[in-house]
Order: sequence, then structure tokens, then C-alpha cells
Amino acid sequence: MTSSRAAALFRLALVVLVWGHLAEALRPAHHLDELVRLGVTTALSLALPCVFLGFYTRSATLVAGLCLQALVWVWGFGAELRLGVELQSVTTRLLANAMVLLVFLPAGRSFSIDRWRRPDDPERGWGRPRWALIAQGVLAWWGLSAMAILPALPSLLLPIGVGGDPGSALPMLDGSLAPVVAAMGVTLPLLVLLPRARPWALAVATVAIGLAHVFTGLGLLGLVLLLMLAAAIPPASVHHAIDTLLSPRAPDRAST
Amino acid sequence: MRIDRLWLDRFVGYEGSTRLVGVLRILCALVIWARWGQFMRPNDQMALPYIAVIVLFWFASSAMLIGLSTRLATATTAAILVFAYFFVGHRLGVDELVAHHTQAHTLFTVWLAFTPCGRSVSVDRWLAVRRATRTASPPPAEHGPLYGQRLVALQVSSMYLWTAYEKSYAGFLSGSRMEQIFMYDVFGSDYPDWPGFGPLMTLSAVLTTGIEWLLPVALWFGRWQRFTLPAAFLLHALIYHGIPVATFTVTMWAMLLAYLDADRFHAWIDRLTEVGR
Repeated sequence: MTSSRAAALFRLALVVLVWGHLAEALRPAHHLDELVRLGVTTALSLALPCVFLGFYTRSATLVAGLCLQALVWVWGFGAELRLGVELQSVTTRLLANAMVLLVFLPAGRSFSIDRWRRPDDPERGWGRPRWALIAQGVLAWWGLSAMAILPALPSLLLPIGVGGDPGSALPMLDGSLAPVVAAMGVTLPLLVLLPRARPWALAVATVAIGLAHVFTGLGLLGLVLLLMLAAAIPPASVHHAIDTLLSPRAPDRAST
Repeated sequence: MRIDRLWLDRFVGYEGSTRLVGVLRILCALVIWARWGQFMRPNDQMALPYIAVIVLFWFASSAMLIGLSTRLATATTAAILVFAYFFVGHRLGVDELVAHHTQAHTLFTVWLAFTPCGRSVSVDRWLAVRRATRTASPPPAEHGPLYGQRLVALQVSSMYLWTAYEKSYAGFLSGSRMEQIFMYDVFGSDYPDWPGFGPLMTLSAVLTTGIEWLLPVALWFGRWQRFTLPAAFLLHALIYHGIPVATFTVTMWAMLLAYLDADRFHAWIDRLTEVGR
């Protein structure tokens, strides 16, 4: 059975990103005359705090996931492009899909009110480890598949240039960097499958997405992708790391 | 107990678990990334010193987030934000950098630099525990002076106090200003025809102002926090759903945690995990 701590941390970060990305979409002011949409966004607004706090976590996650999918498919793709562009963006779709997959992870077993009410329950999965593994794998794959944007990085670096003369620098960037990032996009998802190579592959992917985030203004998408990548970290490692960080208090507090 | 003694013990000499300030550090770094990240992008129009500051910002704030050389990283991030807010924002007149959000983030980071926020939930903590394990000694205590945490709480109190003061005039308390905000942000050109809109706006104006007069003081008392903290969290949730506030709600939620008792927070985390059982 897998530890539930990694899924719980994923849950907390995911809700914060949804709040950050959909602040405008969740405001009732924009759809007072659409009762169905008002109902969906109200349900989502009520479900998200429950998911964040871990209160009836699985049910709340299911409600939040379905509401997000409805926003994407009904009011995103179903609306005129002009009105639905934000809701059909890659960022919204990744967040909505991740919320649905979170239903299959034991996200409420740690760092939650559910756990507070049953402190003696083990911080472990809920009996469907295969489903959890599949859900975790899909999340990580999404993060890694984002490497596909990396070949575009050289052209996105255009604004920084070198010495105010981007023209002289770009041929070098286009010529030498593009094959490197394209190779990364192909190899990193494979390297993550190898336990020994995984930390290095994740580190390289994190730095690459971080650079793209800083230089190209990916906005929240960069953070969403980093979160997806974090799903590739084995839950046992996360559990062990937290054990180390929260080691019992030393008897002599005055020693500090 | 004399009042000056109380002040010294509860504020200046306050000590306790560092887990809460560790969590505050992580939240602060994430909020800074969300709000300041858009301003911290280099381009070919920038002078070299500004590009250097931006590179330093990303290194320092990343180290602050993961808790690596935490004190130095937090102090460096704070110094950069002070420079960006006061010099680039106020002195050079870059308006986007001057807002109550950015001021709150800047001061939040400055106060955190006065706390041992790297002693918990950090790479520094990880390394310290590993060192202790190698030498077969007990792990270092997650304990330290926390007057910086009190300064964060004091900042929140002053924000509520002055916003309550600013709202205490007839135009706001009558509900007119609330009506104007809702007309601008929600209803558009037509005044809502449903009955009771006017009295509801008056009631919400009086309640908001009353809560904001109450919170600066009431939040400091542990016994009242089971009512005052949810009230404050709810107030900001309503603001988030009512008007466009960018990162302000999440900033205030994070800073409100500074009122919690650090040792009690430590015990909560212990209860939530299997550690130590």
C-alpha cells in the first residue's frame, strides 16, 4: 500500500493552483443570468475549500472534478471561442483532469480534517493501489509530455537577445539549442521510468520548465507542469522525507 | 503580571516551534512567485544591473522556497523586494509595483527574515537531521525566537485597523460605496430591481467595517481565535468571489496563520502524522 502523504501534498497544491487560475471564472458576477453555470461554479466554490481542508475529501474531489470538466467542455469548448478561451486552455484542462484523477488517489488520508477525525488510521492508500498507480503515472506523464514545448524555447528566448542585437545571437541559439531541447523532450519521459536516472531526469525537467517559466511568461502553466512532474516522485520517498523533516522534538529545547 | 512584562514575554521574547514560520516561508515564496513573477522577466531593453537583480531574485526566492541557506535567501529576497517596491516602484514610478498587495508581500518577507524559518520543513533541516544521525546525536530542536512571526501578525492587525478607519465615514457606512462597488463589478449599468438591495448593501458595509474594527485586537486572543480566524478567512473568501483581488486573498490567508500559537501548530502537525508514534 502506498503512502498517502504525496497525494495529500498534491491535493493542497492543486487546489491553490485552481484558485489562482480560475479566480475570474469563479466570480458569480460574470454569469448571474446563467442559472446552471451559477450552480456549477457555486458547487465548485464550495467543493474546493473541502478538498483543500480534506473534509470528505473523496466526495468533494469528485464534485470539484466534475464541475471543472463541465466548465471546460460546456462553457469552454461549448461557447464561442471569444468567451470560452480561458476555460479551454491547456492550463484549465490539465487542472480539471488532474482533479478527476485525484479521486483515485488516497489524498484525504494525510494532512486533512478526515485524518484529524481518525488519527489512528494509517497514512496509506485505500485498497486500490493499482488505480492509484495508474492515476499517478498519468499525472507524471502529462508533466513530462510538456517537454514537447521545449523545442520552441529558442524562439521564445528572442526577447532577451544578447547585447541588444538578438539577430547575431539567435542563429547560434536556434542551431545549437533546438536539437538539445528536442532530445530532452524525447528522452526525459523514458529516463523517468528508470529508478536510478529518475532524480536526474526530474531535476533537468524542473530546471527546463523553470527557465521556460521565467523567460517566456508561461504564467501558472509552468507551476501546473511542475506539480504534474512531482507526481513522478515515488510516494515512499515523499513519506520518508517528511518523516525526516518532522522528526520528534529533541528533549533539550534549550540546546538551540 | 505587569503589562510591560506581558509585552516582553508575549511579543519581543516570544519563542516556540519553528514549524509555523517554516510553513509561512513556503507560502510567502509561492505568493511572491505568483504576483512578482510577471515583473521579474528579463528582456533586451533592460540594463545589466536589473538583469542581475532579476537573476538573483529567482535564485534567492527558489532557495527561500525549499529552505536552502534559508536566512540568507529570505533576507536577499526581502532586500530585492524592498528595492523593487520603494526604488523601482515609488522612486522610478513603475505603477505596477506599487499596490497594497506588493507592499504586503514585501513586508511579509522582511519580517520572515527575522525568524529562524529554515529550522523546519526545509533543506537546511534535512541536512541538520542527517548530520545529527551521522554523529548519533539527537536532531536539532525545531525551536527558536519568533518575534518576527509576531511582526507579521502586527502587520495584519495594522492593515485591518487602517482599512476600518478608512471605511468609517457616512458614505461607506450608508452602503452607497458598497452599491457603487457592486454596480461596477457585478451588475453593470442597470440598478438591480430585486427588493432589499439597498438595505443589504448597508448591512454588508456596517458588518464589514465592524469586523475590521474588531479583528486587529480580537485576533490576538487565543480563546477567540476559533471565531475570529474563520470570520477573517470567510471575509477574504467573499472578497475573492466578489471583486478581482489577484493574490490578495491568498496573501491574507497565509499571513493570518501568524496569529496561531506556534507550539500548538507543532502539536497539530504531530497529530496529523504518524511521526513520533
